[in-house]
Amino acid sequence: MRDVNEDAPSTVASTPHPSHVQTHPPNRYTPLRPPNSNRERIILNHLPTELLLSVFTYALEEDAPVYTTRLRLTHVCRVWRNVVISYAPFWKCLALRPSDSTPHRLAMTQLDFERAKTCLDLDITIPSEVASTYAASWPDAPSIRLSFKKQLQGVEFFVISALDPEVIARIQVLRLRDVSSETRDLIQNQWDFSVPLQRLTELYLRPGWFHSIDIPAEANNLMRQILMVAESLRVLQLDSCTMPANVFPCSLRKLHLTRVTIGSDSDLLSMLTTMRELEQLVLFDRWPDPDLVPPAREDLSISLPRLRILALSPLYDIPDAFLLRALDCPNLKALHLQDNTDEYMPELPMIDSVPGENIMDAVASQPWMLEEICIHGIPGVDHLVIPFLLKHARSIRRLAITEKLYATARQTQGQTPFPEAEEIALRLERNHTEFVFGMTRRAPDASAGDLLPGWQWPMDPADPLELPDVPLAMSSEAKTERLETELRELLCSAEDDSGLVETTVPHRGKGRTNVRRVYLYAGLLYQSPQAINRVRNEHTKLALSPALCDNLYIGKPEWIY
Amino acid sequence: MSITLISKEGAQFLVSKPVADRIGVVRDCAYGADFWLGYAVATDDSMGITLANVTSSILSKILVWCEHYKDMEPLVDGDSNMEFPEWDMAYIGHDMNQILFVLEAADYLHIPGLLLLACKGIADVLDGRNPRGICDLLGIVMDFSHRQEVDMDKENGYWRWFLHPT
Repeated sequence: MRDVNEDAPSTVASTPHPSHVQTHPPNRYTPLRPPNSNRERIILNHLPTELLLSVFTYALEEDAPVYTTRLRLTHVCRVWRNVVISYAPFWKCLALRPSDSTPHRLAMTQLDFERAKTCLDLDITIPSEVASTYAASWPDAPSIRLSFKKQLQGVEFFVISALDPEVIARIQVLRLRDVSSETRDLIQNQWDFSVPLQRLTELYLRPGWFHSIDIPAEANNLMRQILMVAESLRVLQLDSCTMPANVFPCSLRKLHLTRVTIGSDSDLLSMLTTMRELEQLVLFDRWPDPDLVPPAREDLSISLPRLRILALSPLYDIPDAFLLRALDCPNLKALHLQDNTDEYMPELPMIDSVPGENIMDAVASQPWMLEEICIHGIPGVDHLVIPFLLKHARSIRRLAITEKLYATARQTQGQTPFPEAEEIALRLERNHTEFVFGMTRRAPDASAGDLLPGWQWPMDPADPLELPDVPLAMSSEAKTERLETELRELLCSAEDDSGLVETTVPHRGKGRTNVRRVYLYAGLLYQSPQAINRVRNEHTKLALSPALCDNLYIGKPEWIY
Repeated sequence: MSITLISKEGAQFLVSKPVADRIGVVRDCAYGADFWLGYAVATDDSMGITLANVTSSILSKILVWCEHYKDMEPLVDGDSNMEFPEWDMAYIGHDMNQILFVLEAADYLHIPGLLLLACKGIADVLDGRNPRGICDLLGIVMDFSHRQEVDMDKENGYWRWFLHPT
């Protein structure tokens, strides 16, 4: 009586793949031709366990957070069940299933923790849930109250299971994001901080968007306590909190701070001098003093011999110039400088609109051989940025700049100014994006639940939603024509008159460039990159043949912060 | 330099050195122990290398993959975060019989990249199928012990709602 043998509902899109390359079965429930002999069965029966595990690993790639495939595989046969259950990596990730995925969340959570007992290294995500303060504003219906109660029970059970001392000692990766004050208090009460987190190497902490503006002391205290017992931490991603400098372990390899205030007892530069193992430093959403903006100190030298990635946003010309000059990191390969000039979020304050001349001078004075550069939003320094980019033209592998900046570089240097670049991301202006892709910004619909209660759009009615009309130097048609020319050069140069493309392979053959992928990105576009051949429609105005666009994506590549 | 490969049926395939280099077994046969000394010993291609476990149709399919990757590195085991290129997915297709034969041949011929691709192909065909569908597709017998049956019935109780959402 195994009811699991019923078919699950299909979620496969019925539209064919535009490029005629199917990455998934056209219809996964279409019966395939059964094995026509015993030969295939013999192949499977004699498949070595490691190959079976390879198959299962691919099958379970996108199984989170419901983990249905994992359960299905355990219900096929004795061998498969034993292989799946006994292979610890399949059970190392523990996360609470969505409340609407099953009414038996508690039982399934218990099963997950039982099977994870074989794992020495656990990856635990403390679940986020709706805070009771928001739930109080919901309609007072019994079904909603019951649903909310069940949700809290599920979260509570998961947190208690995850904070068992025997489990805590095995945590390798801990994610704690967007928890409500209730969950935070529960964690505070349940966690035995006398148990060291010996195996914890990665920690991702964000107290919750409920408190992103005014962080309560309890949240800061909890995060400080966790950091104090994380002795062998390698990766730390901290968001929206105030933290004293002495809790940051010197063993850190990757430090990613967003909206973090360093305690008054120290400052960022002094803290960095102790982190000689640091390989990645990302400081984002920095507010002026006493935040992650370094004080101007000329006498300081920060030796970070392993540092490979540095990302700063927004930029503060004078203090950041001091930081960049103070850095002694000969192995730096990736530099991301992004100012807070996002035209898609006009409601954000413009913190620093002065030209970043000192920053560009400081960067230019460093002997770095950069392979990845992302620069945009630095006002008034094109005359400094272009020489800097061209100086690194032969070493750049990944480049993210505005399309306008790329056009200037092309004008200065000629076609394909960055011949070694393998991935190029061009940021488009808003008007140009709307013209090319036929997109318009949709205002949030309060009745559809897009806005929190009491909020309105635009946020301030006195502010215009749209940016003021600025006379454009070029029409959208002219910009699109320029973009098409650039893309033709980047993607392939062998498109003949009939639109046929002779395939060129990077690093060899007839291709003039090494470009493997080109991204067009902007705030309105897809967050994760999508092949343009999949999403182009009748409104897309790029006159490029689909064959030419095989390596063209829209959306921000994952290597841009 | 070219090498002749002979399939199970006796069909001959003349392949170039870069293509043959993708096949571990052929590489070992062609270069033998002197591979590490940097020169080949099997310079006479008239004899050929017999691949007794690989049929002509599967060998020709495998040679398409080897030809494609003669100058490029395919994904290997360590690239777990990388996606297979679209060409690979189109190549492996969704015919389970074909994929199984490719898998068997890639294992026999020692072609790690193609082996991984075949595993990915099988995983994609299994995607979304329920256990009975998988058993029917692959000819697997549900041979659980009594204890496993009891455990599974309990799991099914948790799971039934997910499969039949109201």
